Amino acid sequence: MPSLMPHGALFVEGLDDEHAIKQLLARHNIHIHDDECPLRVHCKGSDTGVIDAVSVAIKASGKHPVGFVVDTDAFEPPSSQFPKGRRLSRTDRWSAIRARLASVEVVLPTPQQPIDSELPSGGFISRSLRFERDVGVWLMPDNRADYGKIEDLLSTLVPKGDALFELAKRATTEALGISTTRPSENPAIQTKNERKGQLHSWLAWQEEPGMSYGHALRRKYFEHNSSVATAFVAWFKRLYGLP
Amino acid sequence: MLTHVDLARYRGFKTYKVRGLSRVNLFVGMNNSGKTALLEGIQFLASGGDPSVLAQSAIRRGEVVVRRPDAPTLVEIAHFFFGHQIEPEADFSITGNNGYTPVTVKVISLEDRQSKSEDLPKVPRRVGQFAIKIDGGRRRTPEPRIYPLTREGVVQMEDPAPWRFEGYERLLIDRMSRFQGSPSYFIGTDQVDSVSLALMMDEVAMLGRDSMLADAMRLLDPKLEYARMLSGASTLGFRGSKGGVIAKLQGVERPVPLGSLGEGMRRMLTLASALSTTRGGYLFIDEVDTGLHYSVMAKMWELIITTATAYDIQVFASTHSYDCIYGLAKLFRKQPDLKQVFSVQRIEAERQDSVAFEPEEILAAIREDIEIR
Repeated sequence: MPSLMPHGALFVEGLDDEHAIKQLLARHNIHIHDDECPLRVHCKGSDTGVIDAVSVAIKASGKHPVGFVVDTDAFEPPSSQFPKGRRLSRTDRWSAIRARLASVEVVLPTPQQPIDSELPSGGFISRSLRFERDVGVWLMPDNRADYGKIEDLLSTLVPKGDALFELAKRATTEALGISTTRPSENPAIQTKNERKGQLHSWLAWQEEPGMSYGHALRRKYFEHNSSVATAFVAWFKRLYGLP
Repeated sequence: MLTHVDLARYRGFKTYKVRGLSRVNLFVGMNNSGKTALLEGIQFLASGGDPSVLAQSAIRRGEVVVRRPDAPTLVEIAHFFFGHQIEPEADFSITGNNGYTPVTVKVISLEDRQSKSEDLPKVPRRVGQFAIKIDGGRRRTPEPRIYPLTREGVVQMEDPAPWRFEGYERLLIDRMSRFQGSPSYFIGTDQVDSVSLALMMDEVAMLGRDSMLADAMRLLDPKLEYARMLSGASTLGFRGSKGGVIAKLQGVERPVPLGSLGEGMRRMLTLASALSTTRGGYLFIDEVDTGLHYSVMAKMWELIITTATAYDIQVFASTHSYDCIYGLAKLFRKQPDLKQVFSVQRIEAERQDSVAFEPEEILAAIREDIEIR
């Protein structure tokens, strides 16, 4: 079957996300590796970076679709209202994105509906009438979890019952206990990164220790068709008009 | 200050809205997107419907018929109308919120007017039946300006003004427009030569703005006392294909060539001179990045924004250069206050309105490598 080459722009949070998503899509025969592929992946975003780019990405020249893959778990830097900063959840992220979508006339329900109705579990796709392009949003991992990143999607792709992963989970739990006794200048792993610790530990114990997510996907250490991953790929195909 | 402009049937724009203009405005877009036409249209409005503004833009575009050097320039006025058609009742208009009545240009039949021959300007031979009527402008609507069309569809809009100096013969194509009070000036893409700079600096001198020019140049080099052009008549000084511009620096007894102060200083001097002549008015700069290396773009923007703000000049510029936008973003990061007086608009004649970008969006576009042009 000939490989599918979508046209458009996709915004993701960082390099890890970029490589993982490209390799996951490749496992579904969607290839966006080459320079010739007309889909550009933008991944210089910091925590709020992808969201900051939403309005200008939709106003950018051209009429091709634009997609945003956003971490649901993020941290807002300290402000006058929240002097210690604030952990942002799914509803915070969706509010921020929604406001920017509205500013560029993306079709949204009026009045505003509850989040689960506006943001389907299969991902958000709508259209900006003014700028004549389709727009998609995917909140990692599955548009439903309150806090999530790409690692949460990837953990659904670890083969069921994999003993090394069970060990990685136990080891990470143990490490989190130790980390509380570490000096504050050199902290060890925090609870918010538990999933990341589990995955990197698991990858450390494969034949090629320390593979990146993308590499491990390509080498098929990860599976490719959990229900979350399948839903993500289906959203991608709908947004970019692939069969 | 203009914040809104509407065009109807002007050049390639059937209808076009521009909103959210600010003190300094940058129009971006592909080649042939209509950026230059938009600049010219806004100047025509800002000048209050000055016919010489139309004539000068036609000359820049080569839409003129010149028969003899001392004969009047004849403007092929059809190109200003959407669809390039001169027919009865054809018209275009430019409207803005600067308190002026809309400026309109209409094709009228000469028989309609109960005219006496003294009313019309000196009429070229082979006059046809039609004329161009320009209306609108300042708050108190002035007399309409009427120009007969020849049968070939050209119009004589102004007296010839040949200018001769040292063997250079040129039409005084880019004179200041002060038709209804507010000065306006258009810097076209061809103006990077010595003659244009000399004319500009003469204008600065005649307006008594030499110290304003020096202040502006000091944004680029704080030790600069003044810059001036040598006449080239003597064998002293620095000569060369670009003509001699010297700069006097504080603490240095003899002046140095302007170029030794850094990349692009001649062009900066041209921009600073143009700003100095349009105090309280409007400046239009087509392809603002012309003649400047990418490394000095941020400096150029600092010069323009700071001077325009200090001297109440509304600036409209165009570019299709990425480096120009990158330089702007670099300046915004260093001096966030300058963002507030700036607007960036993408122009596409196929749309019906411009796409306005907030300064924060420009920063995001550069950071994320998003194409906004």
